[in-house]
Amino acid sequence: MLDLHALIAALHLLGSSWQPWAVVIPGILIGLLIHSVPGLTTSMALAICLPLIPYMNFLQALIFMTAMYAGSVFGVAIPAILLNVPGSAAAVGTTFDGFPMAKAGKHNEALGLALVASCFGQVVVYLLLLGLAGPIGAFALKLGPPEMLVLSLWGVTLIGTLSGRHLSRGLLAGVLGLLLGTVGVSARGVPRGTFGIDLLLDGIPVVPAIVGLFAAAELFNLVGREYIVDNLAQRQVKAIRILAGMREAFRHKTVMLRGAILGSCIGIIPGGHAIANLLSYSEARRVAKDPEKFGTGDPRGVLAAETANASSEGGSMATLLALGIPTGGATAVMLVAFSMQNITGGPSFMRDHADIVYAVILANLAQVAVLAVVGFAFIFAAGFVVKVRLRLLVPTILTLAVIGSYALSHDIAGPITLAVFAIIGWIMHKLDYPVQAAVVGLLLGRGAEGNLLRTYQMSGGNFGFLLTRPIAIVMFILLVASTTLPLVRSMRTAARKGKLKWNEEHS
Amino acid sequence: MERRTFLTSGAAVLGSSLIGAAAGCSRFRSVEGNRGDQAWPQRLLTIVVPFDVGGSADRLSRGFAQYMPKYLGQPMTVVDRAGASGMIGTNWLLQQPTDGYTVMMTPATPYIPINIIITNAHYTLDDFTFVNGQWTDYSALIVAKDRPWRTAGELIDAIRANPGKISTGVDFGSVGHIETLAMLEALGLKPNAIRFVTFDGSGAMHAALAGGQLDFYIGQSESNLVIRDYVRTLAVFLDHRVPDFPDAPPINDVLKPYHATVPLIAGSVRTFVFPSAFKVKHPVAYAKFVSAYRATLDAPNFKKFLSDNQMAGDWVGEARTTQIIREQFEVLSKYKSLLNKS
Repeated sequence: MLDLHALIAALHLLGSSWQPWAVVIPGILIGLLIHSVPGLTTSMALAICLPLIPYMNFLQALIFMTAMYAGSVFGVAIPAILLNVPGSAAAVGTTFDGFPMAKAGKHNEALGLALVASCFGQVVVYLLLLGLAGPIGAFALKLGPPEMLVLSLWGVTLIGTLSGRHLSRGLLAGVLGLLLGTVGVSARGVPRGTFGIDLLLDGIPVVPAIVGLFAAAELFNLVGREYIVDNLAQRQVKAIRILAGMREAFRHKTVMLRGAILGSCIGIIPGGHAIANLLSYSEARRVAKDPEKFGTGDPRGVLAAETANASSEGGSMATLLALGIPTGGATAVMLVAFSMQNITGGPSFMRDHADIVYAVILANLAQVAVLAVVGFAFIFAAGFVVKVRLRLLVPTILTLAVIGSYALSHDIAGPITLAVFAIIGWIMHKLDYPVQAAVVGLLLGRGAEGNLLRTYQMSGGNFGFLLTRPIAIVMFILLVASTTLPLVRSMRTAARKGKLKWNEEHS
Repeated sequence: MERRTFLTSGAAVLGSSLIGAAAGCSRFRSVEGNRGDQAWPQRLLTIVVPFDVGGSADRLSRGFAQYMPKYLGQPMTVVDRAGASGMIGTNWLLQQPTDGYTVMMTPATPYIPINIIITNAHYTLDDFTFVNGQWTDYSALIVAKDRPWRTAGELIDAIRANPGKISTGVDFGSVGHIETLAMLEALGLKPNAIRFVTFDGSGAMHAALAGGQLDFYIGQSESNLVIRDYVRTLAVFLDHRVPDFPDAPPINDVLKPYHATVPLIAGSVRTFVFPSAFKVKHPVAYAKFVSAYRATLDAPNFKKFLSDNQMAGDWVGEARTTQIIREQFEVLSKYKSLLNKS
C-alpha cells in the first residue's frame, strides 16, 4: 500500500534538481520518432541508448527510459491513424476507427483523440500503480500458463466474432492466424512448418507479417485515389481541430475509463498488452447502442483502443517495479539499466528503494503532461502527411515498411515476409475475410500453443488440475459470456425481425 | 578514408541496425590485399551477437564497443542477430568475409554445441576460433521458496516418494535440461519421474517459478539472480562451494549417499569467436586483435565496467577455451538421447 514517507522522499528527490527533467523531452521525442518507421521497436531504441546510462544518475536514467517508453506508447498510434500501418501490435485496434476517421478528413480530430486517450490511459495506470504496485505485481505472478492460454483464446474469439460481417469467416481467419503462429520450434523442441529454413525456426517474424497484412490490404486499396482525404477542403492540418478532437474525447469518459481499467488489468498478464487494445475495442463496441458505427470512424473506437494500449504498457511496469521481473522486451532492457547503476531488481528493490519506485511513477505522471504538449506539436507536424499525394506517399510507406522490416531481421527475411503477407492480406481483403482476426491469431498463436502444452505438462494429464486454477475458470466463463451473449442478442433481434416480417406477410 | 570514417560514425547515431547496413556497404567498397594485415584494422569492426538486446552477450559486447576501440584503433559496433538459439547469428558470421571485420560475441557453450547436436546446424566446432572464454557460468538447483524442501536430498527423496508429481521448468535442450535428465538417470529414475514443463527461454520460466507455478529448476545461477528472493538455492553444479551460495553444497556431494554422480557441464562460456579461416589467412591481424583485446581486459576502466555489471574478464586463452568447448560437446552428445525421452 501507499508508503507516505517514501512518497514524500520521492517528491523531494524529484523536486531537488531540474537535471533529471532535462531528459524528458528528448526521451519522449525518441519514443515518438522510433515508431515512425514500422518495425523499429521500443526495446531497440532503449538498447541503443543503453551506453548513455552510465553517464546519468539512476533517477535521470530511469526518467529518460520511461519518457522514451511514454513517447513510444503514443507513437505507435500515429502511423496507425494516418496510414493504417500500426507501429506495433498494441496499435492494431487503433487502426479500426482511426484510419476511417483520417480518410474522412478527421485526421486532426483522430490524432487529438488518441493523444488524450494515451495520456488518460497512462494517468490511470500510474495512479493505480502508485497505490497498488506491490499487490498488482504479486497478483501477476499467480497468472500462469492456464490463465495465459485462456486470455489468448479470448483474444482470438473476440476478434473473430467482432470483426467483419461474417462470424464464420472471422473465426476462420483467426484460426488461420493461430496456425501460422505455431510455425517454428515448439516449446517441446519440435520444429514444425519450417520447410528446413533456419530462419523459420523462431517462427514467422510477426512484425513484418502484420505490417504486410495491414499495409497491403489498405495501401493497395488506396491505389487510384489522389489523397488519403478526398475532400480538398478537409485536407488541412489545423491545431484548432486537433484541440476539438481532444475536447471530444472528454465527452466519452466512460469509454476511456473502461478502456484504461481493462488495459491495466490485461497488461499485467505477460503478453497482454498486444491483446488489451483489442479486448477494449471489442468491449466498447459490444456495449455500444449503435455497434454498427464502429469501424466506420467512430471516435469511441479510437478512444477504447488507445486508452487500453497506454494503460496496458503500465501493467508490465508493475511487475518490473514491484518484483524486478521483466515481462516484456522494453522492461527487460530497463532491468539491465538498473544493474548498470548497481541496483538489482527484485522485491528487495521495492523494499529498499520505495522512494525511487514512487519517483518513477510520479515522474511518469508528470511526463504525461509533457507528452500532451510535445505530442501535440508532433502530431501537428505528422498531420501534414494528408497533404502528400498518394502516388508519392504509398510507395514511400511501402519503402519505409520494407526498410523497417529489414532493420528488424537484419536480412532479406523481413522484406520477404512482408511481401508474402502483403499478398495474403490482399487476397483475404478481396474475399472479405477480416485481416485483423488473422493478425491477432498470428500474434497469439505461439504463446497459446506453448501455454496449452505447459498447462498439460503441469497437470500431468490430470483434468482435476484445472479446478485448482480459479482465475482461469473465471476468465473462461467471461470468455464464453462475452462472446455468446452478443450473439444470442443479435440472433434474438434477427428472430424478432423475422417474426415481424412473417406476421406482416401473413396478416 | 577520412570520409568513410566520418560517414560510419555519423551512422552510429542512427542506431545499430543502420550501422550494420553501413558497415556492409563499406565492406563492398574496400578491397584489401594480403599486405593489409600490417595495417589491419582499417575500418569499423562489427560485433555480432546471436541473441537479443539486453542479454549477457549483448551487454558485454556493448562494453567492448565502448572501451576496446582505444586499443584497436577503429570503432566497434554491436549488431544483434537473434534466433534459433544463436544459430541465425552464427550462420551469418560464417557468411561474412573472413577478414576479421566481423567478430561474434556469444556464450559459445552451450549454444554452438547445442546448435550442432540438436538443431542440426550446418557448421562444426572446427569452423571457429574461440578467442578466450572470459566469463563462465555454472548451474544451480533452486526450489520455490514456499516449498517444504530445505536440502537437495529432501527434494530427491520427495521425487522418489511421489513419482510423476513434482514439476520442473526447462528450456528445451538447455544445459539445465540435460543436467536434470542426467541427475534423474544417475539416481536410477525415469524421465517421467518428474513433470517437465517446457518454456521458450528463461524469462517466463523465472516468473512461473517465482509465482509458485513450478516446484524446482536447474539452470544458470547467474540468470536465477533475478528471482533470488523467491527461491532457495539447494545445490551448485560445481566441484566446490561458492561464496554466492554458501549453503548450497556441490551437487555430487548431495548425490554421494545415493551412490550417484553427474557430469558438471559448464554453463555459458562467453567468448569472442572468429571464423577459423581468419586466423589461418591473417595471423598477424588476428594477433593484433588478441593484443587489443587483452589490453582492454587489463584496462582499469573496463575492469570497472565488468565489476559494475557483475561480469568477468578472465584470461584462459584460446587453447584452454577450445578444450573446454570440446569437452562440453562430448558430454552434450552423450546425453542427447535422453532429451527425447522427457
